[in-house]
Amino acid sequence: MKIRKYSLYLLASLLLLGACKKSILQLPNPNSPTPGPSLITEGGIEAYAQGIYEKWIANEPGDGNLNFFQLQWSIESNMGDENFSPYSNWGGRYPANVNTITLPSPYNKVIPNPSGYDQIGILRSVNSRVAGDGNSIQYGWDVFYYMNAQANGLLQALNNPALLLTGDAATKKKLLQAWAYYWKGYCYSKLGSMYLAAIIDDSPDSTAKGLTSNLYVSHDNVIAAATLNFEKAASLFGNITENADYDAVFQAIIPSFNLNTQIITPAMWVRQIHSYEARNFLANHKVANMTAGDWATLQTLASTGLVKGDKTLMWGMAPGGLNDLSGGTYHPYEIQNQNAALSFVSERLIQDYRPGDRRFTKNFIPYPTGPVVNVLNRGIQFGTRYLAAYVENGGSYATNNHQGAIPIAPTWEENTLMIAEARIRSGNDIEGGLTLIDQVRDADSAYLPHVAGTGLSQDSAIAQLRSERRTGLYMRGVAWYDARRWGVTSPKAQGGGRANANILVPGSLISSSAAQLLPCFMDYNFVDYWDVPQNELDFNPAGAGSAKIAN
Amino acid sequence: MRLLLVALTILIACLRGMAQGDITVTGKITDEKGASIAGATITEKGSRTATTSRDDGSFSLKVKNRAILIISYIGYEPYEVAAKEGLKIALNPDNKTLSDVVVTGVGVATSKKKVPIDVATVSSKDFAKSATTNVQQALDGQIAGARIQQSSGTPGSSFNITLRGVNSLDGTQPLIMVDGVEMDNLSNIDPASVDHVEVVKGPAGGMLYGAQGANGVIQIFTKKGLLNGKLNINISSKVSVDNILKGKHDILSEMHHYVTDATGTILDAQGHPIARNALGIWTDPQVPDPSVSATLENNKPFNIPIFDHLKQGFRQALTFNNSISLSGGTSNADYSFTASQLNQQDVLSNNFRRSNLSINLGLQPFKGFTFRTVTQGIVGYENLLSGGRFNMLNAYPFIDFKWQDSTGHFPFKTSAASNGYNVLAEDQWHNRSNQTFEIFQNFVFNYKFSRFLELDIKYGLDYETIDGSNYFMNQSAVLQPAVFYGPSRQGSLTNTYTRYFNQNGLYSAFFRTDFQKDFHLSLPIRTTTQFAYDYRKNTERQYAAQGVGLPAYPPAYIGAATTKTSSDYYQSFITFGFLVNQTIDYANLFGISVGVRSDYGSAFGAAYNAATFPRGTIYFRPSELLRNRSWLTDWKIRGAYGAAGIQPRPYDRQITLTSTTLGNGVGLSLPTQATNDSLVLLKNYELEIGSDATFAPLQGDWLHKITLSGSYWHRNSKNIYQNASVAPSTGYASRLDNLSTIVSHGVDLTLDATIYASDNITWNLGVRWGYAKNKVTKISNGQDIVNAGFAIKQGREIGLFYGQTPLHSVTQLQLDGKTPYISPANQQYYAVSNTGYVMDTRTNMVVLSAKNDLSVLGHAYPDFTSSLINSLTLFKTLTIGFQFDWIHGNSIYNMSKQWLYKPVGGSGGAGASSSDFDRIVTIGSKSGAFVNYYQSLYNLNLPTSPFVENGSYVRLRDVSVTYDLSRFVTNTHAIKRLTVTASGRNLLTFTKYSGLDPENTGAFDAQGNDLSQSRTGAFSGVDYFGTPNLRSYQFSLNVGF
Repeated sequence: MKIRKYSLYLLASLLLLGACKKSILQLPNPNSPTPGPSLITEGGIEAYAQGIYEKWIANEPGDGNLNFFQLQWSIESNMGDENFSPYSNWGGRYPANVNTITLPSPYNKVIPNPSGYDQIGILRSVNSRVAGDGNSIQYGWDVFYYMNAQANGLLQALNNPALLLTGDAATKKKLLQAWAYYWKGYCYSKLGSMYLAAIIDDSPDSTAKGLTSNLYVSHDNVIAAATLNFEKAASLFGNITENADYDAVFQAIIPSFNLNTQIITPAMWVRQIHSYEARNFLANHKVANMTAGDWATLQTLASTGLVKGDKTLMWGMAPGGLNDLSGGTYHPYEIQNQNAALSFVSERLIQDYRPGDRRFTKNFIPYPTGPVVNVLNRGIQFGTRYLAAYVENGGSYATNNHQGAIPIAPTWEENTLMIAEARIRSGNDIEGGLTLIDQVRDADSAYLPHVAGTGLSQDSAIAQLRSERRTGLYMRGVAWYDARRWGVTSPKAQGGGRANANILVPGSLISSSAAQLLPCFMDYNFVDYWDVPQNELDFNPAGAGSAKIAN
Repeated sequence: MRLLLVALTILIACLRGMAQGDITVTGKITDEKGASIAGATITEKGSRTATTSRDDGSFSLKVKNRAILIISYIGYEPYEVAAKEGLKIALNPDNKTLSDVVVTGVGVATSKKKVPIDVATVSSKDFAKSATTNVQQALDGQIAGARIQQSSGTPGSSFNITLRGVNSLDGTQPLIMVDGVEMDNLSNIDPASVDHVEVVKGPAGGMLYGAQGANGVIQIFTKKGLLNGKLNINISSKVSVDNILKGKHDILSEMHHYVTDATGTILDAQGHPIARNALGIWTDPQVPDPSVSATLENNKPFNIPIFDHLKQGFRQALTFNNSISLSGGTSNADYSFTASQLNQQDVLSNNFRRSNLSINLGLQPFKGFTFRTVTQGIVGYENLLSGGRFNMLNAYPFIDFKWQDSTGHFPFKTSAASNGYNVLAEDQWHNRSNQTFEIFQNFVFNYKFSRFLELDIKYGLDYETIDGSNYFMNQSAVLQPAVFYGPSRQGSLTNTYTRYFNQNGLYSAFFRTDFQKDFHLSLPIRTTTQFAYDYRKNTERQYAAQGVGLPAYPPAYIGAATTKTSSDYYQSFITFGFLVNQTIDYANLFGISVGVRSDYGSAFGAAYNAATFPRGTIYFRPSELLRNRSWLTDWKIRGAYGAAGIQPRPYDRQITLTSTTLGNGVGLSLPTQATNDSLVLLKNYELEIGSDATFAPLQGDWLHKITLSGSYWHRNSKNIYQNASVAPSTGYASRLDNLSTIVSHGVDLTLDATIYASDNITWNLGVRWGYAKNKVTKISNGQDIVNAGFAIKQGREIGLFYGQTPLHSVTQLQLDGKTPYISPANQQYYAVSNTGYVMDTRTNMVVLSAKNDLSVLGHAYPDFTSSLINSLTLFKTLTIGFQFDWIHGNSIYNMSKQWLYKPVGGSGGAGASSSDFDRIVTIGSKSGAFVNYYQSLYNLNLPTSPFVENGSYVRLRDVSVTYDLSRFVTNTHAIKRLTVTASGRNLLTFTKYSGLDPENTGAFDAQGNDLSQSRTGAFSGVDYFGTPNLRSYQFSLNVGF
């Protein structure tokens, strides 16, 4: 009976093992830090500051590791017709839905967009939650509000008295605060330059409560909010000087693949902010309506902007596309490669290069598999003879091997061309403007003959300026603003459109067996500012007193 | 293996040596028609001495003098007889479903006659003969109301199991238990080791399972030996030939509309005939611009060879399944061993293999005490590539996937601007594999005191490791310069190691009284009081390392890579609960029970408060009062009410920051999908009312037994977890929340009948039928839950497809009810085509309703599911069985077809059109296969009604012919039983669905992202280029020793 005794002992002891305590239920998530303890440490707050970049990769339900920042960047490139993307993935092609293309004589055919829509029509048709990730206009909205919320959180965390910073704590704190205000200014700049109206949200509470203001303010007021935040940042930067602690924090809040060893000093930050304010001013004024006073304002803003040698914010890649913000595909340079082939160089950019510009021969090669014509039959603007040469092969704008970095904020070239434009357009100092164009071209190794001193008319000078802004600022995030303010994307009936726009016309349209490059008239007919996305409005309908939210 | 066999032999020999007895009784057991019954249990009453009948029905047993024998066999009434020499016993069949004993959902083994809830039991002998790879296949169609959808023909792919309607937006995965304790992965269980399966469909039935039980329970019981059972060896070998289902409709058009020269030769954009270069890249055909060629028709024949890409991409696969089982027992021990190996080729690529060893040992060292150990050892390996039907169907028809370049490789890109690769190329450069090792161990200690008390302890552990490798070779040598598989042309290797460790302890005490025996009262009352404590702990640990940039020479290892990264993950979850339950039975006439379970869980939130689930049941058996009705064998009326829950995911209620490696540093950020510390537990409240009855309508050979069982259920599911979209300006895309209530009801009916039974013919028939309706009665933020083509709307059924529709009338009004879509002045240009859609006669394009004018286009859930199971045995040797499954009333969103409506040709490389493009459309006096008509329906890939199709089908799930050859071999000593079976699976499908396979659906958006885990109300029902199910022909051999 021993066996019986032991078995019962075993049974009894097993029963005791089953005893339970509520304390065993305390199982904190070991994979993710909690806000409280992590944000009062220097390492935590710096990581949180760097986390603003992480918001680019939105990780919305079902979207995986899509980079919304990149999507918006590319969409604006496509609307500016420096690149094109014929694909509907994430609604990529809809915002650049060209209305009609008129073939030149003797054909004189008007080719409507095969989608059957004009741009606002197609954008409206996908501006719903039903369209899911096909809603092109949600990405810019989402990513800049996600970044804004992160910046609000950072400002709040920086005000926590428990936060311990070592060394030159004052400089560190001001740098981190300025960083947050800078990005808020950046987000409002992007939102205010793209959407009819948006929300000003400077409170971390709205994130905690899941509720923001329902007062939508006009895009001009959003730009004003950008300026307000930029000025707060500039004022903080104006009160610190670069030292070892500054450099250490700078490198800690910018990911290494974004060239964080190129230190942007406080003075450079201030100049960059002024350049950005100038860009905002220029981007949101139509040239046709600008007065001499406007040009003077622009010149004033840009006069304290970036100078040659200033560093600016960059977006690069890490080897293998690992632990960076591209995930191996989602970088403007990577989607242009022949493998991804999500984005192509527009023939309208190619024709804007001046003959002899060495930047053209350096940066573009004939498309290796032959010209690309009317991709997927989605519109004849979707054709090109060129591929951007890879960075690893000496080019500047594409890579197949995770190389190269793109500026995501104004550069001194942009600032210089803004001053040049003010000088030329205002008619006050055409030669002075041309001199600046020559400076930019020389610095960029264009090896073009100088235009200053050649007695160019204002119109010719404007043509030089357009050409230089299109080619010299290729993929710098301004092509769409330029197309809008120059009236190119306005409806033809209102004087918009582009004449002599090079189109690789399929042979079937011109009774030919082969496609031909022909100068056509493109009626883009884009709205100036997008509607507010429905995925916001469904949960936050516009309240009384809101600005216009739809075209 | 040899060592194991030796050990087994020794063990069996030892156990057998313990048997003893006084006289030897011999006899023969037959059924009511005189056919031998093998495997019937012959027990000496009042002792544990027992044996089982041999294949010819004969038995021999040493028993005490004057002993009473009890003969029992599943499906037959027990029979008692005095022990004597030369017994001839004919067993009477019992009602098939009411004779069993069940434990699932009732806690303690209960005769099915007294079970107050709906428990479905499926014995392994009823498994479809063609179900060879897993238990889910075997259960398919066997349980009324349960939908077990095999959504893909890929080996090892998961099943959508919906036992009873929809409870949540989290899916419908039920709790899986094996011999009383939880197990993670039903797919890993070897069907050969299964004795029977019990299924409890809803919370009213699964009431013992508290916060685990809302989706119902599937409990597997593995094969056990028998006390005093003779050694029984069974060897089975099966081979299956598998091909994908292709449906009856052509998928791709046979014509084209590319630009050609006078001879019909297809031209590229440069006006040259299309051609393939040395790298395997074709130039893209030129296509007339549809916007200026309204009358363009898809009517040109190809004048170059075209290829069937499904045929080139999918192969005929072979599946081998071999198993051996040994079972038997001694006077105080029983044993059962099953070893099996499954080797399954995939129709797309490579293999899936699984080896199982199952050991079930029971010991009764002294009276009242039982110890049982059940071990499942599973070793799995698969190196499948997911590949893509997308690229098979979207490639130009003239591309030959089998063409190889000068290096003997398949080219990646098939046309100049295509980003869809040749599906055959991946296998040459990409190796991936998962090696699985799983031990599922279950210990049961049971002690029955002589009176009143029984203690039962079950402890199960489920330990699984998955060793994964994903290797993209260095592709520097690939002829095509810019393309590669994986993250880098220089190759990459990712190794992951994942360990799951789940523990489940169930500690129960039963206190029983029998008023007659224990208290000498005349009342025939028996009571059972159950106390239980249930503890579960799940952990998951993962390590991953990746190397990118590998040398061009072997071997590939992460250390050799130029860039290395790593990551880790740990997750743990604990829940425990207490149950108290009181059952009172009055003889066999009626019984009631009431109980409550209280659960605690680490995922319940900061307060860790208990969740409480009440329950109650009642049954009443009128047949006890109607004993003189010969046509009524048994009749029970039952009712049950119960609550159950679904746990949140482990860290749903913790507010954390997302931490991501960025370059050399780490970024912390707010997660875009917010967790919620005030999330509450999802609870279901279900009422189930049912009745089970057995009739004997006729006395002769025909219809002498019919068993009918039916249940009506009604359920309220509150606090549904939802990844609810929020305004992005808050910084979040979504926030976990409890916003909705789902109310469901349904009916399940089961019929089993012996249609005919005579000496030479037995014909059994089973019918299963179930319907469920699930309605969302409340969404508290008032917003439709929308994700791609799926919508959930307050007051509407769940699982809706929602989208635009073509106009059906030229004067149709917009959503405002006033404005016509087409202005009266323009209506002259529009007409209704023969397809019923309004078309612009100038462009031949269809006009669709506006994006805010959406309609419910269909629903993903069927009106009912049913199956018809037949088995006919002739001359006791030839058995013909078949099973038809009928799913009716559901819709399928044919996203695969919508993609094939998109423009083709030109640069970009989209290559093939839907076969619909060959069909003629008539508008007024015009007729033609107008390209614009079809392409306008593509509608930017947005949800659009023409792609919603009737998903109903009737499928011949299983057909089998088994021939018993035993009589030819019984004169040999070694072999006792020999049967051969030929069977087929999915041989016939009757459906209007135009895709390949109406079962091959999932939750996908237009880009193929899987939404099933997104908690946004996206359910099954979208056909997105999956691997269809298989049509299989099988041959199997079964030998008993």
